[in-house]
Amino acid sequence: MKRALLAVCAAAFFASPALAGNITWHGGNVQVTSTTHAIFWLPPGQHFEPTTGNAATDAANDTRYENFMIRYLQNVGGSDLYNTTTQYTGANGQITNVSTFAGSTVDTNAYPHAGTTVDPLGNDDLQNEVDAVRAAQGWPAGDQNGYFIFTANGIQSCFNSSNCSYNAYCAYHYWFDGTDGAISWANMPEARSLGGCGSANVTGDNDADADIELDVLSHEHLEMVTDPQGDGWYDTNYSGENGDKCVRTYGIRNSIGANIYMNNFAFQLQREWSNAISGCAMSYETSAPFINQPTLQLSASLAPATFPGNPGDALVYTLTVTNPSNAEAATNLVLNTTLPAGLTRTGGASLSINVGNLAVHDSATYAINVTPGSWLLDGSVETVSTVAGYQDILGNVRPDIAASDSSTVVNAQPTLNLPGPQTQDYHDALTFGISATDVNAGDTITLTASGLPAGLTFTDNGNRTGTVSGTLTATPGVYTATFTANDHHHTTLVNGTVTITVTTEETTLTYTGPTVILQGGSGLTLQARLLEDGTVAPNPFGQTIHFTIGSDSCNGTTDATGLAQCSVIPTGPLGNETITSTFAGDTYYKPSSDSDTVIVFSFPSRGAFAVGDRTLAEAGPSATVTWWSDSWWALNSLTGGTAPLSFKGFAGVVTTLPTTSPANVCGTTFKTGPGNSPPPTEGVPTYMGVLVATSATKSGSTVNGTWSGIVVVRTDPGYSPSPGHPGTGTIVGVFC
Amino acid sequence: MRGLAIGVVVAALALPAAAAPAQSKPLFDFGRTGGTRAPFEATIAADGTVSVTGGVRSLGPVTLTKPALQGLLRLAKTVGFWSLPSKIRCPGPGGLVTEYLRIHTATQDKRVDSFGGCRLGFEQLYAVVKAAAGLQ
Repeated sequence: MKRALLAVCAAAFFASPALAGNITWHGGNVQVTSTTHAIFWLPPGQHFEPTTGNAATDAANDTRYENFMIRYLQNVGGSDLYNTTTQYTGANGQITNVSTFAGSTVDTNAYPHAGTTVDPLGNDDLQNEVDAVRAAQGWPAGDQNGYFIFTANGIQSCFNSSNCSYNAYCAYHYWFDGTDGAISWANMPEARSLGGCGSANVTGDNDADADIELDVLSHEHLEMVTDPQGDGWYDTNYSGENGDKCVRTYGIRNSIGANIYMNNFAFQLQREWSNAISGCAMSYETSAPFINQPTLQLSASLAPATFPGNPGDALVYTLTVTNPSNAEAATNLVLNTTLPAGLTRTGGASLSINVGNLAVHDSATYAINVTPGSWLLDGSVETVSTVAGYQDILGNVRPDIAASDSSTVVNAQPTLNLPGPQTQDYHDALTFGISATDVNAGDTITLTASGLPAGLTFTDNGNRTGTVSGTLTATPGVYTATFTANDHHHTTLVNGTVTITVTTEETTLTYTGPTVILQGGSGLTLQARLLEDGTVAPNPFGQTIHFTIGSDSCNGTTDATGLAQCSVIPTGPLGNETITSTFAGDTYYKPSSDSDTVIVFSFPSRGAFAVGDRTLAEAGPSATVTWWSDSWWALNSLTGGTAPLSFKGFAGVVTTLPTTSPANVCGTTFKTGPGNSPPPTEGVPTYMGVLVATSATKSGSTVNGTWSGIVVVRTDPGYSPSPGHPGTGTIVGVFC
Repeated sequence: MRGLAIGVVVAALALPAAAAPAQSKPLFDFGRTGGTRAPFEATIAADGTVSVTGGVRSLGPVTLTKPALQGLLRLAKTVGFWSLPSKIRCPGPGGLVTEYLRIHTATQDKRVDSFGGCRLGFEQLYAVVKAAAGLQ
């Protein structure tokens, strides 16, 4: 005991505000290896944790508290924190990173004092307990051994009359001469119950009392290792030992409050003084920068791994940065992400993330939302990369780390759905549809067409369908239209063809010329109209229409209205005849023809016979009329009144008979003599043109008349120039 | 016995204080540093006003009377504060705090740091000043 006090005198420290000076060696031993023992002095009715009123719970809490202390002592050897002591060497050698937990015991013997502020335990009480337990357990003496005696919640102790647990310490380590050698030990009151002993807390372990006690235990333990008997390592400016100079400095704590991991167990423990960096440290290395260097792990994931490559496709780039270090946080951590040209950020985390600090065993995850800025080609690989820059807690720049991930554009070609061959007539409307399908629902497919015959246009409906429509104006023939489907993800476009056959247009040819035709004369004008499908004139026009009537024929050319005409002088027989109109077809139009029956007639070789207009009007079709008779006046009724008795039906002079078909004139007067003067022709044509007389009056020896039209009469036999042989016939046509 | 004497002195000093002229430096400046306990610092101004920062329990706002302040100064003289060494080094284990006390008057200014609690005069004066300031 006397030796111990002298040694302590040499180790007296003053905790001045200036803690920056290094600790120095004072000639004594260190614990080259530490062998620790825990004595839990817990008489019946006492507990380490605040009592719950339930004995079983209290007992369980005490066991947990003890196990936390044991866990520290079992795992501190070899840890980064313990390694801070290995930079110090004593008279007996250099400290090694070895601390062995030798065992623990729970002593339920009663305290010799009440443990109150009025009747506290004394230093000698505690030393005696250490010695007694040591003897009972057979634990050895020697300065390489450390004994930690834990007293119950609220138990006060005093080192001397003025330095007690309620005003001067949370714990202390000390030494004395035991019966078999020097004993290094530590008085470990239940620190949380004392108050003012820090607030270390690791969330999740549900033991705030143990957390604070562990911080104090570590403090005393590592001081004991470096200064087991007061002549080891401490600061000559009296700021204390390695633990004192860093009391309640924890550095950067992680998300659960931990700042050090020992064999994967989380602790919040104060840092220890490190001469190597002239500061508080959680680790030590023998070379600069003399602390462990955190080496972060960065992972990146771009999901999904494949995507169609359309603007709007949602990709998520997830970054996770982890600090696997057990002791050293990273600082000034910045994540800079670079997007490929094809991708743009749409939300989520920034491309430049200032993480700041990343504590031990902590990780941070960020998600950056990206999407293609434009259509991306199938097979293209989009790689997002990130570089992380950071420093250690001393500001030393750590090598950048990088991570990246890629997603590949996988996009199927669309399928083009085309109809079969199309056929339609020239100048007719044609409509058909095409479509495209694509397994990539988000693809925008553009449809185009080329090689369409004139008159057709293609419309992309914007919904993966397209429509060809229009009226064919191309020269009839076979056309090959090519259609393409472009999903914007391929350099080679999907295409297909449709054969479009433009056929010649149907035509109708209708004879529109005269059907009652004057034989001979100065000419017959034949006329017909050529129409497409019976509705509109051909375009282009100019088609040749061939007309025949008997042995006579001519060719006409269609005009813009489809009308064609030409003239012949009909030389065929009288009576029924056929006019044939023929269009032989051309590049654009199919052939067509018309055939019509006409009546060919002629006038008498001079003059003309007449019938009364009213008689004619009252007669039905094909009625028999009398055009020569001595009773002509009674058989024919005229608009201009009763004809004179002397008019027998023959007009010797007619002003003026037509000479063409159709009639170039039709009217208007005639003149003749009374009776059989002049006599009519000996014979008459079998089909004869007869004047339609509207009046006939006698003035002197002249009969004057008017006429307004010409009908064709098939003459009956029996005619004679004598009025007693009347001339009759059947009306078969109207010429004019 | 020592505890009883301290209690009597504290009772005499803890009276409502009259206003006194403030000085630029406090009359008493004391507290604890180092070790494992939370440090604190307290001051008693010349007008008797007590200010406290750090980890110590206070009974509440206290203002010392002028006679009380004069009594503390007399106790300092009685225990030989002005002749104590500035650093008192007593045997003691690692983990103890260092107590300090500084007294600044118009004519004198002295600070004493004490580790280990072996100098009775300082310990008595420190305990009385701390109690007078209402600190536990």
